Amino acid sequence: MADTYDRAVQQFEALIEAPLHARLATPAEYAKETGLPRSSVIRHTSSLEEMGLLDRDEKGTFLRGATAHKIGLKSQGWGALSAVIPPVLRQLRHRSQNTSFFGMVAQRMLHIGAFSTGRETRGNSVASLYQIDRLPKLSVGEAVQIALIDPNSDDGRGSQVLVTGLASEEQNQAVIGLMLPASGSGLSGLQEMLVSAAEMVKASGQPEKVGQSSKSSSFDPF
Amino acid sequence: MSKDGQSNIQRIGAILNSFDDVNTPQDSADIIRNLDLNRSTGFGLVRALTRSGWLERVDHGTLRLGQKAAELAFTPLEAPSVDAARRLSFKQSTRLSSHTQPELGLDPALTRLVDTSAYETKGPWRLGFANASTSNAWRRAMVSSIHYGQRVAKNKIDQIIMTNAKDDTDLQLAQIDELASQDIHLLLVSLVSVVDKRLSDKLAQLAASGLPIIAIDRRPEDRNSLVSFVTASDYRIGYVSALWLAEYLGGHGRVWMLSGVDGTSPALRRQHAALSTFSDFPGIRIEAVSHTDWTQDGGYQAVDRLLEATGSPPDGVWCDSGLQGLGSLSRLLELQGLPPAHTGGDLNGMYRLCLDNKVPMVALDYPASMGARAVQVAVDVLSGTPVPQRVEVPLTTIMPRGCETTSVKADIWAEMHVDWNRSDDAVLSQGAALSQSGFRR
Repeated sequence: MADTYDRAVQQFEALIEAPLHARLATPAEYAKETGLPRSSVIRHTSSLEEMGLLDRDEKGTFLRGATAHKIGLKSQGWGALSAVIPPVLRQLRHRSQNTSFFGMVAQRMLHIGAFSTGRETRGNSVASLYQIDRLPKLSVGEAVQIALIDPNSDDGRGSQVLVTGLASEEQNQAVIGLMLPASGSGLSGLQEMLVSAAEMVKASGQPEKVGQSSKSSSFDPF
Repeated sequence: MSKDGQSNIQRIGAILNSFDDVNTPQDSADIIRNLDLNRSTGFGLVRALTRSGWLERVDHGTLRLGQKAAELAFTPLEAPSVDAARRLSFKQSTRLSSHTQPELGLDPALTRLVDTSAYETKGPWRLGFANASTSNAWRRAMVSSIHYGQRVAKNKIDQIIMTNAKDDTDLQLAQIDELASQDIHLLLVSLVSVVDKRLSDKLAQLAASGLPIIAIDRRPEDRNSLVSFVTASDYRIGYVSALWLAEYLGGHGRVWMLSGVDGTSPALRRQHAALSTFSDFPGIRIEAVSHTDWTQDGGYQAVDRLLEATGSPPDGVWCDSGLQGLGSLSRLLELQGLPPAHTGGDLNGMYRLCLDNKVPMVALDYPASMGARAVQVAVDVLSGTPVPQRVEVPLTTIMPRGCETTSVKADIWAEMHVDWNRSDDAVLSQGAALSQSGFRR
């Protein structure tokens, strides 16, 4: 029989998983999705939001938060990338209209991290884990097209994606990528964008002290 | 809930977050001691987390994050849009926009991190917020969002002292001095003017004295006094809205440009991006550039003057926000016929008016939820967590059905974004602070 601590872990899992499956903006919706009492939902979502494990978007809908994302990346040794990945993925999605993602490749498995859903590939649902054929060693500035196989899909079908490398550690490689539409159009433009985004992430480097950024001499568009 | 006021859910979150960026193994006893947990509760939770795969044992009884924790990396950056594809029934575009953008249009400051270790102090903290004004609905919504952020971080933030400079530079200078004298741990600031050197110098002086400063929405031209700047992409607002208007008009027509408050950074950047985009369309003639103070009355009066001067309405009105767009549209609706295409959202009333009168429009709501985001960044800074030099709250492109152009597509239809049950001055982008059904704290 589960003890108090096992039950707490199960509740934690339910609370942190729930926003992945449904749009939840009210205590009633959250309680229905998790099966937890409404009063517990109010108390726990409040504290999880404070810790950054949950977040809310412009409509008040719950999302997994930045701290959850960071813990996930830490577990694979990529915690330092957690702050810089989301803005780059959003910009990639805006420019390409394709779903952009961060991924971690280990033993012919691709673990999807943060992702931003683009309209061109909105029909392709994103799974957390895919099988892939061997990922070739990527040289600087190179993006390659690979096929993903969803192990949970009945027919084994997956998607075509374009990926480029960010960093590698022993058997583990960090990549960013774009889901490709069935038409496969505009591939060269997407490759260029992806490589440019990867350069941006790689350039992030070590945190700087305040005031170390260079002053702009002309109008700064940002 | 125990005597320490923490629930087991909070303790689990704290245990999982206690590992460093490369998942260096830790001894269970060290985890429990560092988090100041009761020993029996701490060991009970660590054992349960290990049994379920959130933690895994390494050598010599040490632990690290396990496979279950790796699954937390799977983070959609947008809420799931249940059958959104069917409801929106987008057409697949056959090519990417041919319109050129500078690189990715990405400010390098978004990926440049600031070392905040010098600002790490034990909470709870007292913050100051030197606000430029509360003169329009958006600014009031942003303040609501800051209050929401404060409620979320209630255990860490003791107080946020807020001042209102009423768009007066001298008053803001005095208020910043007053806030700095009240033992604040961090200053949030939204500047009256981007170009006023006295304000920039004042911030530089305070930064040199060791006070961390975060700008929200309006920053000084020189970012060196800031730890971080929390905003949304003004460049993108100006660029996308101008591109849409130019394409919607088929590359030809008379356009009036109505900006917000002269001398503020969002107005300058949106206008600069829009002018640069319009310049790529030789058939677009910019007949006027006016400032409206981001008020409905300002928009109404500007259009009234231009109608008198030119004698006829334009083909399109570029507004950098619906704050003045609502006034512009109200004046043009007093004329016969369909009003010209407009840009600018933010206000619920802008969407209502456009949809009611079938006015072609596009909007990128400037998220008032950046207030709460700024409070989160303040907590990170005072906790010693590195933060990006620039934090952007995401923008969405909103337009009524049938208004898409070759390059500019909707993220959400205006028909789904508008809230017919809310007032005209409701700002829809303020996040959970707006929601009446939001969780009470």
